Amino acid sequence: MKKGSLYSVFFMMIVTAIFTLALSALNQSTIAAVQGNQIIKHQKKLLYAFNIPFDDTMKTDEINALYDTHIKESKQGSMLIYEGHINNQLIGYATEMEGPGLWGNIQGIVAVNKDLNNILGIDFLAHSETPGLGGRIDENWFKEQFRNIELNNSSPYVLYRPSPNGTVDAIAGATLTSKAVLNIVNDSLIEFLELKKGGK
Amino acid sequence: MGNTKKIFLEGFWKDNPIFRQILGICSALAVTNLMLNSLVMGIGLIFVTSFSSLTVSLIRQYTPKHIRMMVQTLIISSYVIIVDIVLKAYYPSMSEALGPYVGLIITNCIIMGRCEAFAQNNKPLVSFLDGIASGIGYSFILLVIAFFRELMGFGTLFGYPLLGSWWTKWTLMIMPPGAFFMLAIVIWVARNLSPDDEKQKEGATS
Repeated sequence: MKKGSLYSVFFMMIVTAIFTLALSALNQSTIAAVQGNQIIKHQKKLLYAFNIPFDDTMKTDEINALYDTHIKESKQGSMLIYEGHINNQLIGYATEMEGPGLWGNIQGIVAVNKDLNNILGIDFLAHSETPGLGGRIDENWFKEQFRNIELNNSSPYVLYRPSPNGTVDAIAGATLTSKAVLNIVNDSLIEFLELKKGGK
Repeated sequence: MGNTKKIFLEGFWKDNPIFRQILGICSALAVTNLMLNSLVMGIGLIFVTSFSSLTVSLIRQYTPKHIRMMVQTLIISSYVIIVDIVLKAYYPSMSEALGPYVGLIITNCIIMGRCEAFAQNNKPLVSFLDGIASGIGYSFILLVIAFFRELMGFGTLFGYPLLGSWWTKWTLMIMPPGAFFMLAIVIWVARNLSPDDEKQKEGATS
């Protein structure tokens, strides 16, 4: 059979249409589950930032329940603020932070205590840093450094060692990412503290 | 069926994608620091290779020769997206752990290699089996590498602690250089186990 160029074009169009259709159908049928997973992931990150213990093996409903009892969302101005509660006592606030990293935007969460003088913890939602170097901001040893550290009296609130008021260590070999993270944390703290202190 | 046995033997050992054809090295280095990641990657690859080969073979008589690569790429990427969506929806932790590597199954040379070299000229069922065989050969090597890397690097297997606290963890093993050492050793050992093949292969067109 002689196959002309018109045949090739039609063939390609039909094959493409079939596969695109199949993929769209699959995507439509799983979109709810995928979004559900993302919500759970977000909730886990907030729980982590507030240092509320949870188990990675917990089911969706359990995480949901844990989140609902401990964290309340509220809006102040244009900022979405998460209030953390333990045993019905307010322990602190969390807010989302975002800023430029080395390769792309870094998104995360920073939680401070209710007196606004300590960081409770931070976590990262999304980033595109170099795996193995800047990507190590996801590792627990780095995030745990921000647990319950005192804020400096004025901006910049958090500094790396060995500066005199330094409280955390940067990642060796990932200077730019480390700097970016610190800037993002400090910028969001400035914004958040202004809002909180101004609102009071 | 003697043919089936031959296909599996070639995919698994004689013509193993990794240590014989040196294909799919990129992902073999990347995901092998944990057994579980390697296993899921292997299953993903078996699925994509077998079904891509099947589909390519099914439409091989209707596919114009000069656009066959476009068609193959389309087919392969569709199956990879399927794997990606399924992982995201039903196995999010694994999707997270494998990260960009799932999408990179598309660029795994094994798949297109099998489509071009085998599925293009063979019947659907045989092509399907050939895809599975190559996928198993790939997964097997990945698991061997991951076995040593996870055991030495973390002291665990599939996340279960196997070696006690007396074991000094070899951090090197879970970092990229560890993968290069292990892969080289595996290729070396595997080639030594079948030195005769080397001579037969000489002069063969690849």
